[in-house]
Amino acid sequence: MSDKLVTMEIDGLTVQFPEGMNLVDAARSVGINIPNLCHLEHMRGVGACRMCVVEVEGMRAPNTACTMKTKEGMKIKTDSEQIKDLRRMVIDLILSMHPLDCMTCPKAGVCWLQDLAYQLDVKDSAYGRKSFDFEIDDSNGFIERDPNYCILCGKCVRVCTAQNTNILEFMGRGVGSKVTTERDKPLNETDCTFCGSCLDACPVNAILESGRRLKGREWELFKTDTVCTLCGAACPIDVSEKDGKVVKITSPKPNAFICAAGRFSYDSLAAKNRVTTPMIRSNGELKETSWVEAIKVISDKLASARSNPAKVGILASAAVTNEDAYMLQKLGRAVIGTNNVDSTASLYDTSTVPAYQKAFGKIAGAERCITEADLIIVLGMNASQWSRTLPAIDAKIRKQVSGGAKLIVLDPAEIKLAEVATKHLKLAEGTDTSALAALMAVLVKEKLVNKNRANKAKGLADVRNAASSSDVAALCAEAGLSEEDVKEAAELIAKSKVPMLFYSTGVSAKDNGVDTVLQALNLSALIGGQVLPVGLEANMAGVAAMGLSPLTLPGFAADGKKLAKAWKTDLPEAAGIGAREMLNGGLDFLYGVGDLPVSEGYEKPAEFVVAHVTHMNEFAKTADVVLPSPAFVEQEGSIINYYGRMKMLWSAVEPAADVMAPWQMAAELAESLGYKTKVDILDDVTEEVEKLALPPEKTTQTTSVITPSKGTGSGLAASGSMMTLSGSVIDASKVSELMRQAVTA
Amino acid sequence: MDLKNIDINKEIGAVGDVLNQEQKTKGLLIHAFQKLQSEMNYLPEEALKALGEKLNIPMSFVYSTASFYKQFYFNPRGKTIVKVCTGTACHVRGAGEVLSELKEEFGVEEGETTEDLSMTLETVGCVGCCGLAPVATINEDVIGEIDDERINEIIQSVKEA
Ligand code: SF4
Ligand code: SF4
Ligand code: SF4
Ligand code: FES
Ligand code: FES
Repeated sequence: MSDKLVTMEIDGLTVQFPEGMNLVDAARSVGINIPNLCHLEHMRGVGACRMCVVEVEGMRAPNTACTMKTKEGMKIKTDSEQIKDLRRMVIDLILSMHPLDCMTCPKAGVCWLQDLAYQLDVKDSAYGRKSFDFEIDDSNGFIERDPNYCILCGKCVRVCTAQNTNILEFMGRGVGSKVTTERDKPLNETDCTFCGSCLDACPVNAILESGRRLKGREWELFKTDTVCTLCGAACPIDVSEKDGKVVKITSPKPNAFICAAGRFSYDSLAAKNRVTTPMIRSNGELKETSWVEAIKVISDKLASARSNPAKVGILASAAVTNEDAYMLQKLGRAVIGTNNVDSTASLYDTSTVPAYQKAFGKIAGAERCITEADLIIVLGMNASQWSRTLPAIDAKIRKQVSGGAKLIVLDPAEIKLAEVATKHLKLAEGTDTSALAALMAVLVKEKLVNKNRANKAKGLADVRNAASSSDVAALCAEAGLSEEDVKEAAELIAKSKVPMLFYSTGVSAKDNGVDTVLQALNLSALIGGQVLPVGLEANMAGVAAMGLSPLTLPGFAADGKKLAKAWKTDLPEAAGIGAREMLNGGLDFLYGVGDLPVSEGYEKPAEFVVAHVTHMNEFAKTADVVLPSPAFVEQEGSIINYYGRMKMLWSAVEPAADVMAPWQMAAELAESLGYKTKVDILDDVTEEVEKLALPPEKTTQTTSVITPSKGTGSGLAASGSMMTLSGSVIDASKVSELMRQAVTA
Repeated sequence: MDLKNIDINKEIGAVGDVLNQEQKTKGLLIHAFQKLQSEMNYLPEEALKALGEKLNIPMSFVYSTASFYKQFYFNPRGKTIVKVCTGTACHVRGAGEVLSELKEEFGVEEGETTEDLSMTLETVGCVGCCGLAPVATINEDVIGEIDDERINEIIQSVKEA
């Protein structure tokens, strides 16, 4: 696609499009839906099904729209009688090999074939019907494949191939050929990750959620667009509900990726270890109690613990909502008088907040979307669909690379993503700042990037000068890279138009992580790129913006004056402690929210411990009071994703437990300690957040020259995933193991 | 063929000059299938796996490519290959009976191989000897006008081979 606009005529309508856009996508963007069965939005058309035929002025025969691009002066007709007849023939042929099962078919209502047959009024095939009696693959608990319904559109093959899972393919040839796995193996005998991308892509009932049958017809389902909070990718999801139960979860965007956990782990809502009522420990055992009683016990304890605020801590996972985070830190700062408020984000990322505060005064996101990127740079991020670490990020990057984008991986290790890298710079451990400096030096010295493409940033001239006076050979030697390799990478950068840099715990958990992030921001400013800080949990940026950190105040406020006034209280002055110290023990009172990553046999970290959780976990086992919390797809509120965008969470089902959200609990406790919160409903918090805690709007980046340094150390979670399944934090390998057990069970 | 040390350029010869890397690897696939099959009689899964790994091609694609061609087999083949013609002329002149008798005798279904790998039973479209129908081929030889006696001969020749 180019930036040039062209004027065309579709069905008599004069419209403008960017030149070179896929015709099906272009028509759809102006509300004209050209029927199609094999086209995948944003991917190259393949012209396999011939459903999208249109008449083009000046062409002798009708042509497939999905293989044509927008062009100046093009005139097309999408709906003439001739075209409709051609389409009828296509449907007729498909129906001659397709069961007419609409009355019981679980896909009825979302089946494209059914819709098109209806629109074109084709009742049955004029050619009779041939059936093949293919075997159904229902080998695993997630996805069922029934090739008897397959119309050979190839969409599943292309999505699975584009994301590099490569499980499905066309097998055989001619009549009787089929889309299946190598040797027709059941999915659980292949390397399938059960992401279900193929399922979302399949226009008919050939790929289906296992157990979808008899759970409700499509038009009976109530759909809620929300966000998966199970990992740092924070994918948009669409939750279908009927009679208070989740029926299925799909991706709301066509041809987008969600992983097996996001799609299938809703069964954890009713898991055995779900905490369904408040519990209090008596005689060493946790016993059920009422909310009234639980709140009384906690607030009594808090009332006395408050006399020594340095010994009180509030710690939440970074998967809580902004509203939760805001109220929890307010409880700490305004009511208890302590800065001991933190989230688990500080366990794997100690760099993003300070670096971004220096450069932007807030965590800034990206303005462009990864689907626009033509160059992706991956720095210290071991995302992988297979180890189930940030799987959606891995899939998105791979899809972009399959579509022609270039990929530079900066990582000392042979990470899985490096397989598809255009250039893997295997720098020496901890030398990220040097490697980035070397890249900048080459870019500036060899005049590979001109000034026009730079982002607007203060101090960029200094960064440029520093780069032009640095010694490329020395920097490369420090980073253990050859100059040729660095040059090749720099040339890829030079050729790109929309470069995007992702980084994660591989740099942000290191002791020189702040410098690395600043250096990455320098590079990005220089080349007109975007930086995406990816955390392991869904709301890393949000909890920081809300001030749930001993280091930041709500809205990244520079001082507490405005807050003190609004909160009608003085803010604590003593510096607070972070997650690691809190978990290490020695406190009088600790309020822990969500999944805190502690291992088996963990010792009680405070004299009095409150655990506010969805499922029983190792931390909650040590608690004096355990409180039930809304889980994934039950939560309400907002988060800030790794693009820096605010996303709303809507409760898709009634919680399967007698829950109270953390923000509400924080308000209850504040009130019980005599603090007036004026908070009754979620909107009250949202309003206060809007007034006091929203990160500043547009800010200009300030760059600063970074002296390369060698980093050491890696945070607790940098080596594995923090993805949660069935409510407990487990490392990546265990998630895979669990998935596999589920599959083989 | 030595799957660990395939040299694409050497294997593919002069045509390689006009192909890009991707075309070369794909071209090599078919070439490798042919070699493997002539060595082993079929394409064993292990060998295909090694090939896929060496060429960095996913298994789904390897099988997709191989299954496109009728000539490749994924299961071991018998020493003698018996193909019963089921073309129209043979069909009307009793190919069905010939087939079922052979199935019964050897305890295999169409497309299967006997456990001792002595024989593979297959069917084939018209082999162009309709005048001799019903017809079968035994390895490269055509046997026509099959009656009970000829069937016994076929069985004998399989057993003796
Ligand atoms: S579930 Fe995912 S990995 Fe498995 S076949 Fe479908 S798209 Fe491929
Ligand atoms: S399984 Fe579905 S998506 Fe895949 S080729 Fe068949 S109809 Fe198309
Ligand atoms: S677990 Fe992560 S990758 Fe999977 S759907 Fe949820 S947010 Fe997306
Ligand atoms: S959508 Fe264009 S040919 Fe299938
Ligand atoms: S039909 Fe059998 S040889 Fe022609």
